[in-house]
This record gives sequence, C-alpha cells and structure tokens, in this order.
Amino acid sequence: MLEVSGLTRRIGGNNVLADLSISQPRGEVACIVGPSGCGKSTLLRLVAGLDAPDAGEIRIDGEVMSSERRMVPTHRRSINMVFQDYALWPHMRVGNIVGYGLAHLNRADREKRVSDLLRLMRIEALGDRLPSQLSGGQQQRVAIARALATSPRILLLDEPLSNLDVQLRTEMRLEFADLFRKVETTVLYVTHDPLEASSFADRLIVMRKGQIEQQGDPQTLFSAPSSEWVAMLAGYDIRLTLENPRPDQDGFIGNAGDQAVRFGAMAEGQPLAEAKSVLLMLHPTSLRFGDEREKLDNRVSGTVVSTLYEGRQWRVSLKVGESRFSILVPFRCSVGEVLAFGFSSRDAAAFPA
Amino acid sequence: MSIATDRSASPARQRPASFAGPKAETVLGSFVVIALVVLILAPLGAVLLQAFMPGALTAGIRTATPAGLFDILNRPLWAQALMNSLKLSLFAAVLGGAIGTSLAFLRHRIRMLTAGLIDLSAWLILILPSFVIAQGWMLFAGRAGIANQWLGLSFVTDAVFNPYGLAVVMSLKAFPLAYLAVSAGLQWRLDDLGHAASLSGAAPARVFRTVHLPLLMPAVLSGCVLIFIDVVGDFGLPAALATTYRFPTLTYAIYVAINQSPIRFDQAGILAFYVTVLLLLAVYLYFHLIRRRRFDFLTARARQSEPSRSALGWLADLYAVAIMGLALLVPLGASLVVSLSDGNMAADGSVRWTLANYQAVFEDTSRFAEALGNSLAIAAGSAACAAVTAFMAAYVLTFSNFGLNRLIDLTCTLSLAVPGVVLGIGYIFIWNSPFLDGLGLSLYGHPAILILAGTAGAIPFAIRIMLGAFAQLPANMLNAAAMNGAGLLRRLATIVIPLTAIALISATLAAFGSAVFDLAINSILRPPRLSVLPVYVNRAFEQGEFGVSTAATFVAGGVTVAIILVLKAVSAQALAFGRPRTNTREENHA
Repeated sequence: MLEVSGLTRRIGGNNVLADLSISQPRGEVACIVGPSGCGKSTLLRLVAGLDAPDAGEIRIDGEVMSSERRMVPTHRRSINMVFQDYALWPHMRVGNIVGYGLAHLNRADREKRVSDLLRLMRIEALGDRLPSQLSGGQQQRVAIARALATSPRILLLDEPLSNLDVQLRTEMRLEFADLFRKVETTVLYVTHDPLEASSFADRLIVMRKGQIEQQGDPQTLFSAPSSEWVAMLAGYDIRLTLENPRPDQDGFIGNAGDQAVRFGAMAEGQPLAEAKSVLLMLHPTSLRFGDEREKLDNRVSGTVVSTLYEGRQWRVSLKVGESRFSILVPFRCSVGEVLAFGFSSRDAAAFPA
Repeated sequence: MSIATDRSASPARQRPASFAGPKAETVLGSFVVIALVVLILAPLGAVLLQAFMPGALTAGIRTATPAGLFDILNRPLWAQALMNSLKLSLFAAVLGGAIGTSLAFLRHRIRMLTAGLIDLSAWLILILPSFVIAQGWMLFAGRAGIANQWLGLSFVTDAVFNPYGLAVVMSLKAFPLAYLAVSAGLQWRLDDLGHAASLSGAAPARVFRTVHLPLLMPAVLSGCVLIFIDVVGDFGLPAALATTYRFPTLTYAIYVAINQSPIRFDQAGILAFYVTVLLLLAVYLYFHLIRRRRFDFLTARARQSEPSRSALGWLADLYAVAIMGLALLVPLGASLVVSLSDGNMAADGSVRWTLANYQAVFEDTSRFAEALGNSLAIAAGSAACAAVTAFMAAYVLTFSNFGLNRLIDLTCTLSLAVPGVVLGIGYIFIWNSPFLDGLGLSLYGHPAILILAGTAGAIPFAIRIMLGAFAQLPANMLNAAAMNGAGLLRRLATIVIPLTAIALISATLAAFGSAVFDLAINSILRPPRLSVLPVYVNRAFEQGEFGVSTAATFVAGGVTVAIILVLKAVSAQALAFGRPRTNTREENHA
C-alpha cells in the first residue's frame, strides 16, 4: 500500500507539489493525469526515491521511505519504474537487461525468470539482441519486463506510451489493461492523456499546479467533472453561457439568448445561489443531430458563423446567444444557416460563470 | 558548467541520516572535495596566505603584514616583470583572439581545402608544450639562428626579440583557444536572423557587423580571456628566452626567486600572489562576460553550419597556411633541422646533416633515458590519479545534488587558470611546512610531490573530457539500475564505466601526455637528484646544447605519442572484446 501525506516539493522557489496526499491500496492501478508542469512526474520521482521531499512523508506497506528524517535509497525500496525514454542500457543484451535486478538469484532461476518475463511480454525471441536492434515497441516491452523482473511492490510508469506512434499507442492500451490484470501489482501510472489513463485505471488522479484537482474512477470523472478545468481536460470542449439560471421541475434552466436550456445540476461542490450566469460544458459526443435530437430534453439552434472541411467532417463555428463554439458535424453547412442540435441535460456539466 | 537538478541516480538532497546512514554519493562527493582541497585549493590558499603572512607556512609567522606586497613597486625587476607579463598577455589576447576568430569564421563559413588541416593543427599547437614552441622560435630567430645565419634574414632577429615580437610568438601559440571557442559558437547557423537584417536593407558587411558579430561576441571575448590566462601563467617562453634575451615575466621571476641562494620562498609567494590575482580577475571577467552577454538564440530552426563555396576560398586557404606555417612549421621545423644537423654551416653554405645529436641523448652519460623513464613513470601516476579524481568529480557533478557541488565546480574551473608555477609554489608552502614535517608528511624533495602536482595539473583536462562523456549519459540509465537494486558501486561498474570507458581512457592518456612535458612543475618541485625530462631538455638548451635538447624533445615526444597510441589501440581492442557484437542482419529486421 502506498501512502503519501502532506508531500511538498519546492524547486527554485516554486511549489511543484503542495501538501499532496494520496492513499493507494495494494493492487490498485492509479493513473495520474495532468498537463506538463503539474507535478505528476515529480511525484513519481519522489515515490521512486530519485528526489527528496521538502516536507511530508511517503510510506510503502507502512514503512517510511521518504520523510524529513529518513530517505531510503532507491535501490532498497523494492519498487521499479518504466521510464519515458525506456533507459535501456545500450551495451547490454535484452536478457541481461531484464535479468539485471535478479543478481541475488542463481543462474538457473535467473534465466527462468527472464525467460518467463520475455514470454509474458511476447519478446522471447529477442533475448540476445542489443537495444539498438529493437523497434520502439520492442524497447518498451523490454523496459516493462525489466521493471517487472524484481517483483516490485509498486510499479511506476512515466508516460511510457509517449514515444510510440498513434496506432501502437492504442494497441498498447489494451495490452496494459491485460498486463496489469495479470501481474496484480500496485501501479502508479503517469500520463497527460486522460483517454489513455481511463483505458486501464481503477482510479484517475487529476493533478493541477501541484495539487489534486479531482480523483475517482474513470466513469465518474468523465461523467461528472468537478471543475471547469477537469471538464476541459476530459474533453468538454463546448462552452455555452446561460443567463438567469433558476430551478426547474427536474433540475435547472437558463437562457442562451432567447432559448431555454435545461441542465441537471451544478457540478459537485459548485453553488448555484447568487450565480447570475452559468457555464454549461458539453462533450462533443453528447450532441445529436437530425431525428435523434427529438428524443432529448434540450433542443438548441445556433447560427453557422464559419465552416472548415477537416477530412470526412466539417468543423462548424456556431453562435448560440452570446456564446460561440465549434463542433464537428458529418454534413456540410453554409455560413448563416441555422443548425439545430440536441443534448441530454444529464450530459452537461454546469459551473458558475 | 551547470548542475542539472533532475539528474540523479539516488535521493537528490542529503537528509539527516538518523536511520538510513550516509548516502553513497555524499561519501564519494566528500572524497572528491578532500582530493581537490589537497591538490588545488590548499596550495592556492597557501600562496594567498603567504603573501599576507610571510613565513606563516615556512618558518613560523614573522610578521602578519602584507607589506611585502608593495615590494612590486619598489623593486624595478618585479615592476618590469609585472609590466612585461601584462603587456605580453594583453597583446597576445588581442592578436591571438583576432587570429583565432578570423580563422574560425573562415573555416566555418567558406569551403576551404585546408579545413581539416586547420582543425588538426589547432589541436596540435594547443597540446604542444609552450617551451618546445618557444625553443623552436629561439633557434629560428636568434642571432645564431637559422633565419639569420643560414637564410640570411637578418631582420628576423630584431623583429622577434622585442616585446611585441614575443607577443606575436605567444599569439601564434595560444590562438587555438580563441579558434576553438569561436568554432563552437559557429557550429549552429541561424540564417533567418541574417536574412531579416538583409530584408531590412543591410548590406552583407552590415549584416556581419550588426548581427553575426554581436552574436559571436561571447565566444570571441571568451577566447581572448582564455588566451590572456594562458599567457600570464606561461613559463615556457621566459624559460626558453633565459639565455638569449632579457625579458623577465612574473612566472620567471618566481622561478628565479626559488633558484637563488638563499632561496626566497617569501618573494616567490608575493610574485605568485600577483599572478593569481591577475588570473582571478581574468576568470571573473570571463564569467562576467559569459553571464552578461549570453544569447539564447538557438531555436528548433537552427541547423548545423555548412561552409559555402566562395571565389575567394583560395585566399582563405592561403591565410590559413600562412598562420599554420608560422605557428607550427617554423618552430618545429627549426627544432627538427637543428636536431638533425651539427649546428654549423659549411663554407659552401650547405648544412651538415647528422644523427649525432640523437646518438648523444642515448649515451649513458647523458641521463636522458633516466630522465625520460622518471618522467613517464611520474606522468603515469599523475594520469591515473587525475583520471580517477576527474571521473569521480564529474560523476558527482553530473548525477548528484551533493551539497558541495558548487565548490567542486568552481575548483575545477579555477584549476584551468592556475599556472604550474603558482601551483608549484603553493605545493612548496604546503608540503614543506613545519606542520606537515612534524607529522612526517613533508613531501617536498620527494618524487611523490611531482605525482601530486602532475595530478593537479592534469585534472582540468581530464574533468572536461569526463563531463563531456557524462553529459551524453541519460540519468535514467542510472535510475533504472538503482530501481533494480544496484548500489553506487554496481551502478559505476556495470553502467557508467562501460558506457564512458572510451572517455575515461582518453582522459587518462591526455593527462599522461600533458604531465610528461610539464616544465613549470618539474622545474620547481623536482627533488635535487631526480632527473626528469622537461628539466633535462631545458637545461641542455640553457647550456647551448641545442642539438641534444631538440633531439631529446623529438625522441621523448615520439616515445610518448607511441605509448599513447599503443595504449589506445590495446584499450580499444579490449573494449571491443568485452562489448556485445551488433548483428547487422538482425538490426535490419528490427
């Protein structure tokens, strides 16, 4: 079990991490999501013991690893990591790289363990190769095999898919989901891509400016972002400002120009009282066009301001009331045309504007 | 040299170790600091202390007064030495800077036939001991030299043997420092900046003056300051001049002070203080220039500099050949001719060629073999110690946030500027002090002091080579090893050394080569009955045995280069043997 409490790390006078606390039960796959500079990689380095905190404590299975008074060296923490650049030693063969952390085993046991791991990662034929003789995907599998070899109490992964092409990245998401189920170890995975994280995470931890913005299981986080910022990160790109928000029979209602728009509730922890206007945020996949929209409780029309062909679909800039936003539609529109769309009030996230 | 905050293979900052014990990197860093204090900081500190408290480290404190410092105003010889050193260094900085900058600019902007030759010659001139170059010039330009006696160019003697002529000689020796600094600045080319100026109506000359030159100024000024530092601390030229032309400099005045009877360590200390102050001022200026004139103009659009074809390329080649000829061919050619002749011209004007000088150095009575053997052994010891220290220092600087990293960084940078003469005087103060004598640690007069001083002299080169190699090594490779349970020693043995072995060997061999010919340290610290090569060569020169002196230089140089090449080849073979082979066919499949 990983327990991080009150962790603070300052670099050059800036709080890269500020009083951060996380508790991760054994066997959980947790993904830390956030933009560059939010402190997610720093957190990973602190857990790994590659950096020391300015305040706070890190415990693994109840044992203090980092604190004001104690720093257990990295090589004595029984954790392992898959680095963003893989960090494969160029002068060693794959078999030696994977077996590097198994020096305490006798030769036969070591070879068996290496062989098992290469099989698990489906690279059993590559044991005699040098890193320079491997493709990017193969290098990544070697890095994972090495990290698993020592049976770490916690497996850390620092944006391991960022160096792969789009197709391979998608394939690896599925493989990671399968792998994490098989190895049953505690995983702390860092990425800036929420979709990647939601593929296999038991829990998403969204970080911003060195603090946790929101955490929860992926479904909850994607369906109910607790802040405007998390909603943006989750892909809620459509922003509609509603004036005069007020309670309605099944929820709330507000005006976009002369159109009434319903929404289910304010986002968690966000007060409606005294708000003169509300920002409604929608995921593009929530919008429906044509007949489909008729079944939904919100039907809104906007004027097409501009269009842009983006290969098989059009990006349309719409004006609804005073709000302007762009959406992707599978049909052509003309500037000045009125475009109607619908969405369910339950799919909208509302925040005080 | 900066210390990256995230390059760490272990906890980044030291914590009170109430449970976990001292961190391995801290132990290593402490060892490096101790080594640098003993080798560099303590001797340098002793020189400064001695200037203000004469006798503090030699025969008990007599008077804690800096009054002796003002002797430089009262003693005409010292004042002359200070003025000569300043004049020589400033002139060489300007002229050498101009030569180095112009050559670098031509080399990187115009396609030249001699491009490779310029690079090779620059390095060769840089690593050649200055006393060898200076002796070559003496043999060429002296009254009885080749130019006057053999070629009938009587004006050469007067042209060279004046303060400005000597400054030109020093410029030709030191210009590679500016050439290399400016070349580094010219490696990347940003055409857009120049194009923007051209589109704003600037003619090519104005583009150069207003865009290219200001961007290059940090490199140009750095080169000039490095030349100044090199020339202020140089001992080779005044040593070679001693018998031919009276031109006292600070470094030679130091040498005279400790070679007169009675020996005046106090006077040497005061003179060394002035050399140190000049060098510290230059180093301060260097950092000031770097900091104030730093331009972060490299962008993703920068591309590697590609020389372009020019109709005036031949003129650039001619200029390069002239400079290389003067800097390398004249001094080395003169030395080679003298070593292969009997020094006299026949009545018909022909030169009598002979190998007698080479035979003479191998005669039992010459003690050349003994001197060479001693110097090679001392250099080997120094090289090994310097390589180990530089390796550890570079590791700590690159991969740890050890608390005293700034001190290590500063000491390694400072050591570049500390001349052998000052280091030698500092070593005398430390290792001849009554305190260490009482502990039975007085090494003055013992060959071991030459190994220590040689180590200190070689560290600046060795550490730069190692820092360059470590900069190529991603910290994550060490982090990955630590994650897999490897402690510091295993990380060093299995990751760092295999991946930086070539640099480590290069650092050791470079340290070896520079230590064999270090005239200043050997002249000052040599035990009375120990024969060493640089002193042997210099003494033969002082005694007018020019043929023997130059022959000894070429034989010793040849032996040293041969040893370096053999060791390099053997180590390359050994490394290739231990490294896994790459299967090209498999690579293609991957």
